[in-house]
Amino acid sequence: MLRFIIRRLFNIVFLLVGISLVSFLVIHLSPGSPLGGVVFNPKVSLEVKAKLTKIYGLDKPLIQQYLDWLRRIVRFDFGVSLLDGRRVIDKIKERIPLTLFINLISLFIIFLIALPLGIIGALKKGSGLDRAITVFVFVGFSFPSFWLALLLMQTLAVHWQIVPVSGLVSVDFPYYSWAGKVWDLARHLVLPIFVSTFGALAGISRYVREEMHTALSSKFIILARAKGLPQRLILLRHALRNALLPVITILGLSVPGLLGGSVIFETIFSLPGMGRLFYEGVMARDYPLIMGLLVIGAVLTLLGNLLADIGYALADPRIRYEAEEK
Amino acid sequence: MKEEILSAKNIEVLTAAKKFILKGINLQIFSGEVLSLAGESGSGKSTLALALTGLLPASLKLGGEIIWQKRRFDLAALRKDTLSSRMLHGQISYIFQEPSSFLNPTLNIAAQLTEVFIYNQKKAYPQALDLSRGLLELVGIKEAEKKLYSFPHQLSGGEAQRVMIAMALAQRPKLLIADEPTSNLDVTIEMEILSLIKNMQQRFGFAVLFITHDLSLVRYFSQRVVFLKAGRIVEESDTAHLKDTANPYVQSLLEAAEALQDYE
Repeated sequence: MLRFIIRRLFNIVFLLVGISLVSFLVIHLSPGSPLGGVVFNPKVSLEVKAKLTKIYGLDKPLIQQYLDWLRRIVRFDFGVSLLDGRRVIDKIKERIPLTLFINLISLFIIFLIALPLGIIGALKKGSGLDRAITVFVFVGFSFPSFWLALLLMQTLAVHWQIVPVSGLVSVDFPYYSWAGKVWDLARHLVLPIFVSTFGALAGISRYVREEMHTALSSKFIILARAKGLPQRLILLRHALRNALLPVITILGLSVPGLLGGSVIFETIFSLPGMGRLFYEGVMARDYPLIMGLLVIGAVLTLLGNLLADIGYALADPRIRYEAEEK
Repeated sequence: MKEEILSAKNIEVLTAAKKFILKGINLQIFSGEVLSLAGESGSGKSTLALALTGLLPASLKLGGEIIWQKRRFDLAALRKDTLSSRMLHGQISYIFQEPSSFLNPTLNIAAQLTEVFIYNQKKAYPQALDLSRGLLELVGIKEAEKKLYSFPHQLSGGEAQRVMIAMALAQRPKLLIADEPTSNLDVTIEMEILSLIKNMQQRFGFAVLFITHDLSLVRYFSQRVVFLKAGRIVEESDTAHLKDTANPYVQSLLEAAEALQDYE
């Protein structure tokens, strides 16, 4: 098992170099420049333009720029934003808590609701209840999130004024008591979290429903019933346990999503999250910032995959022993 | 005349499309006897085995009734009546072909054996574990202590079938339904498993419903045999008088078995 993990980590390093090289090239190949308007501004002299290009290191060959970036990144130096001169790592750090917080809560709620929905759907497959659940989750799946967000803002925030329209906190947030601050934050996050949760229910609940149905119709359930075991034990210990194995993989694969914000979503609710940071970075051709975000995303994706594999191996004895024997 | 323990009356199984898989099945099993259920593949043997205790998947329609130890069970109702079916399954045990796919792949042998003692017989875990170990030794598993903590995929086909027999014995059955218990095993192990079942049957005195397509096994194993063809019982006979049959279906099965023996 340990050797397997070490080998995988070794692979990840090579993959990361590949991913970063490709992303670096793609970003630089796309038209535009961090100098933006300066390049086409007739009032700026050629001398200044050349100087600026040199400052940003854009005069060097592309491969040299990449190697410079790589040399810094192995020391965890993400460089400085071309836009405002602040360290990239600081810009990312201040955006992480909100995105992580929203995504963790969403993921938790998604599983809290989707798991039981999937299990009920499998147990009562084909029944009216099963069909009602199917319609419910697919309605959520089919609504475009920006449309649903705007609709909810229109009714709940503008018309009925139950929740605030957008933003993270109210203007007078600093003057609230501790409990008042939590309440204010919660009120602001209700809509964003609802919108991000509702759309994701379909995927997980359908997945659990299928897996649970497969488990329930497998042969070991016949044996469990032939053994005269209590119904609860058959469902939980024999069926659900096997049905949830593949869900571990989904959990692992959702790790990178935890830090990846959504542009549309954060723009509509004016939330200062990772999605908007990335969008702003791309628009300004802020190469160090884009690369920093991409590398973090790539690392999380690869680690998430590894975690999914490890989790699956720990939970499924068939794979656990195979890994140990290797 | 021996006492009748199970009597099946007019069992029918239909697919969702109203196609008969089994029709008008009547059979009796007497206490302590071995009754064989023979027939070509696809004749409905395994379906009948499962239907007897209502174990069929919900997609199949089930009709008829059984009388188990003088108690009447309507099979269609039995599938929804978890209490009665638990009671019934506490007394009727199964062993299946392909034991490795009937054992739960994610639970070790100890977990799958002890749960019978713990949940059906209300024993404490340490005692259940001792009983399980004892059973594994009884069915001839070597290194029983180690095998307790093995998972199904780590067992050989023969070992998995022995574990399955141990599980069946754990319930102290009055009837053991053995559905082609050796069809996936090679010949040497086949004989070991069959003589194990026979030993256990003589030792504990339960009845056996032995399902097979192999007529040489029928003669070796049982006193009475019922032949199934296309979902109906076509012949019932003592194994001793099997050769005198006038039934062409049985004759063809006999000839097939003999041809196979000559070939071997």
